[in-house]
Amino acid sequence: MNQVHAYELAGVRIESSIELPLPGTAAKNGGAGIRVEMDEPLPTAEAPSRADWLWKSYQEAVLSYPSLGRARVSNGRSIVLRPCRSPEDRSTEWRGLLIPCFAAIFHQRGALCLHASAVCRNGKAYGLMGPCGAGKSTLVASLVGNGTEFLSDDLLLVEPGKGGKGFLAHPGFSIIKLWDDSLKRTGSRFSRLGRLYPDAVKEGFVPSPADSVLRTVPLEALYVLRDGDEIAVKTLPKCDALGVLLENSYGAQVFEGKPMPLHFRQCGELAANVPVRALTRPRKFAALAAVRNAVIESMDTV
Amino acid sequence: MNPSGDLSDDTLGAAVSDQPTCDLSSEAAVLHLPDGLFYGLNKTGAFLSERLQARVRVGNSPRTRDSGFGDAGKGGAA
Repeated sequence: MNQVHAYELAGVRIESSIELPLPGTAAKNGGAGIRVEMDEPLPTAEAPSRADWLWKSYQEAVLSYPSLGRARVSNGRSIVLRPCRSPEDRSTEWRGLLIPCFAAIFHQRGALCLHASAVCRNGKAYGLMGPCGAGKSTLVASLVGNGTEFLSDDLLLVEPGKGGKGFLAHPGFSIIKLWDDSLKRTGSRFSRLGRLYPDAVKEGFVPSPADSVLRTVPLEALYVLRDGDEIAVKTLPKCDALGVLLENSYGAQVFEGKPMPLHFRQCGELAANVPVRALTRPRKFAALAAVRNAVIESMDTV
Repeated sequence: MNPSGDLSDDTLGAAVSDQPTCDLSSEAAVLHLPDGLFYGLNKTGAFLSERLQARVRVGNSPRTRDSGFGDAGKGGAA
């Protein structure tokens, strides 16, 4: 019988046949909200030739990745992985692709999943949004250990606070994706995990428990990363904030990029309750310390 | 609406049912589902959108407007 690993993410118990970079759960039973299983390898003829998502319906999505395999995400409850045939054990390489799979499954469960990395300062969460390659993880790597702690990378699950007051941010996967260059320039406070998916340029790193927050915390503000010549932090009008949230949340890609009513209302509620700030900055390592200091200063400004 | 298609005081106005709205504090936004675009509403637009969630007689609309904006609202064209 295969070993089953039990974890918890955003209050949902997860049982997985492969190890995941998530905090374990002390509860031994209680029923899994989500199951992750490794199925039989794909026949060679069915191996995917390109990376893509196929949403057959809101409750049925398939992520394909060449030389790795397919992940079927169903009904907010099940992720089934079918690997390509390979002489090597590639189970560790699923860890990078499981992050978007978990975004999809939580989206199916009706949760609001931001494409954001996050840190915690003085017990409050701050999210950094932006498209792939915008520099979210690099900025997080620079912030962690300089008065802030790691909360999540690439996927930030948020929900309204009790009684409709504010929003809460959940800790995510204990993993951060970085270019080697970024790691060197930000100072190494992370241990190397290795490649997260085949042919990846970035590698996975693990923040130390001392630098991490493993509890749900109030979400104080969100930043969206933008390129510019000068460093500036500006709070966006709520309607602009809504547009930014729709662009930087998982779910908009379902059904030809059109937001669904629930997703639209969730982003609206978040925009109404949590300030969204545009962080404009030059994208060069020489400016990174100054950008970090500007972000920390704005975090401390009520 | 009368048979010629013109508005009258008895014409009933209401927001269409398949356009989700969200409250952005004093502002609001409306999602147009067919094309996936959303439209921002300022304070006045948000007020009218909220009132139009229920059916409103066109003849009552100036009164509805005044009840929401008081003296400031009376400056505009009725």
